[in-house]
Amino acid sequence: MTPQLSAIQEDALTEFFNIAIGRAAAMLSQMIGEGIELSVPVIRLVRGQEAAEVLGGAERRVCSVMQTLRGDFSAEAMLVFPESQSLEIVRLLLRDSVPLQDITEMEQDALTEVGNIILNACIGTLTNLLSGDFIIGLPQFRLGACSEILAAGRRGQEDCMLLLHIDFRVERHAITGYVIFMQDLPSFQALIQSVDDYIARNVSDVPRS
Amino acid sequence: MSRAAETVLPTPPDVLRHTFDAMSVGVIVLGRDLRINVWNRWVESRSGIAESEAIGRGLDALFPDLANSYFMSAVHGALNGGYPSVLAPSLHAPVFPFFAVPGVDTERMRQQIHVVPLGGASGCLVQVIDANAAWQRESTLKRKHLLLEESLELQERLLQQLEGNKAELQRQVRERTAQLEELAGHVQDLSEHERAQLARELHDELGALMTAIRIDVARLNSQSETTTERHQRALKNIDQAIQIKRRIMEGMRPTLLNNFGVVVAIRELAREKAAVNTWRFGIDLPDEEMPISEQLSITLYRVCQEALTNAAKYAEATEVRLSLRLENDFLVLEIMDNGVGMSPVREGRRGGHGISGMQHRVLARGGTLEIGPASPQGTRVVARIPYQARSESARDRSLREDEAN
Repeated sequence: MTPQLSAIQEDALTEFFNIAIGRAAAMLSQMIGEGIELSVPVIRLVRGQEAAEVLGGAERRVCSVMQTLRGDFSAEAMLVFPESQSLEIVRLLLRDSVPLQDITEMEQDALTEVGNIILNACIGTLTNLLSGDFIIGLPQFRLGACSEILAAGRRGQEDCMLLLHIDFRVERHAITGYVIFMQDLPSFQALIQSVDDYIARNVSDVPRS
Repeated sequence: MSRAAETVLPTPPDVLRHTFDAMSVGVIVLGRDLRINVWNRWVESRSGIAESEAIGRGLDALFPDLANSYFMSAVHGALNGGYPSVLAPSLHAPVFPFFAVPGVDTERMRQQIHVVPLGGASGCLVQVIDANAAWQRESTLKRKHLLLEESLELQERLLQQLEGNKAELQRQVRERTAQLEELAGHVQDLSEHERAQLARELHDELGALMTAIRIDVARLNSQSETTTERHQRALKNIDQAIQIKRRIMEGMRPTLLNNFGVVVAIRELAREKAAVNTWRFGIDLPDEEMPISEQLSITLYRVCQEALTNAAKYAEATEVRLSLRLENDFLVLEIMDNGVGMSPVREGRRGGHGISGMQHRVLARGGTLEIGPASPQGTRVVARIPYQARSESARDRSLREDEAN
């Protein structure tokens, strides 16, 4: 059974992720020398097939940066952008970029680094909530059909995914991407439990869900 | 995340050390205090700093420029938070003063850097990859792409220019053609006009003179047999001269056209040609004479004359059909034979001047002339000339003015 997030749990998680991703935005801005804004407007829990639908269909070409989390819990964190939007982002970041039809090696490296910064921020939020020891893997870049990309991160059928909408703003451009956490059920339950603990500690007058 | 006590990594055993040295990427291992524990051969050869010089020193002491750099924050992220980082060569200036050949190269090599926390948070691995080749490959690719775009743009511009020139040339050809047609029409009108004048003079003056001579000669008294013979011969010669005069006049200006108009003149012309060539003949002409200008009458008459002459000379036809009708402000003259038709080879030969003469006459009246195969066989000539009842063309007027002058 897919765990559900109550409104208050969802609010708390959104808050945590926004704080973390704000730090990532500051790092990126400093690195690029240009104001970059990042925010997480929505968080939701989805199953495998649903994720593909949110991302625009199983056949849609997407570009992803994935980092693995191994240790007391296992998870995959994945940043996903539609292919065209990933080209847009990278060409905003690399000023001398020549708009070739396909993404180049250097552009892939740059996107990998951007993904790495955003994912590290999101993973930090998650590991702060889940106690335990983790080893975080290096980011891997992939380009392909949405279904293939999602399959690379999934380990079991019972997997559910925490899906974060990421709004990415540079200059006058607004681009939407997604961060997806794929976890097994126990780690999700542990995550929800620690969110509840946090709420109980900090918002004593709100009843627990 | 566990926060292990600060430790300096133990010196790597020999196998590990040989492995690091054998790698084709830079390997630097830092302890939690930023002291260098591993400095492999690749790093040695690109930095010009010997392993013995580097081991045990703090990275920040060896490269003071790195203080507060993005790279150092990545190292702290790995040491304190366990976060791995990648630094893309396109987003960062080369971090380390590493060169493909230290002491010779002046420009730092492009570097892709991975900062990876080591297990137990005991330190971190800094992996440096030479990105020069990829960087150059991509620069070349971009340069080629720009060149290609520029040459495509140039090609596009040249094509547009060529198109422009072509249009201008076509315009000039149209203009010159129109001028030539105008001129040819004018020449033809003038020539018709002169013929008509000559025909008038032949009739009025020479004709009258010869008739008078014939009457006088016929009345002369004959004295001798010889004189009678000469007398008879002179009379015969005068009759012949009168016949010749008539024939010349007919050619120059058909009497019928002058006296009865184009419909009668064409009908008579056609009957005569059909009789001489033993054609079955179909003719479809307006019942009444048409109120058209003299120039237009001549044009129609001459086109008929030429087309029928061609049919007689080349076509070996047994049947000829001719029609003249009015279709939406156009006079349409159509002559069809069932002869051998025109082969492309014969086309040039068959009445070459005759056909271009027809074309000029029709074009000069603002019309079109089509010459093509008839169905099922033979040749079909169609002239289409704009027609406004009783209108007088500018050329008709100018011709009359010429005459007046």
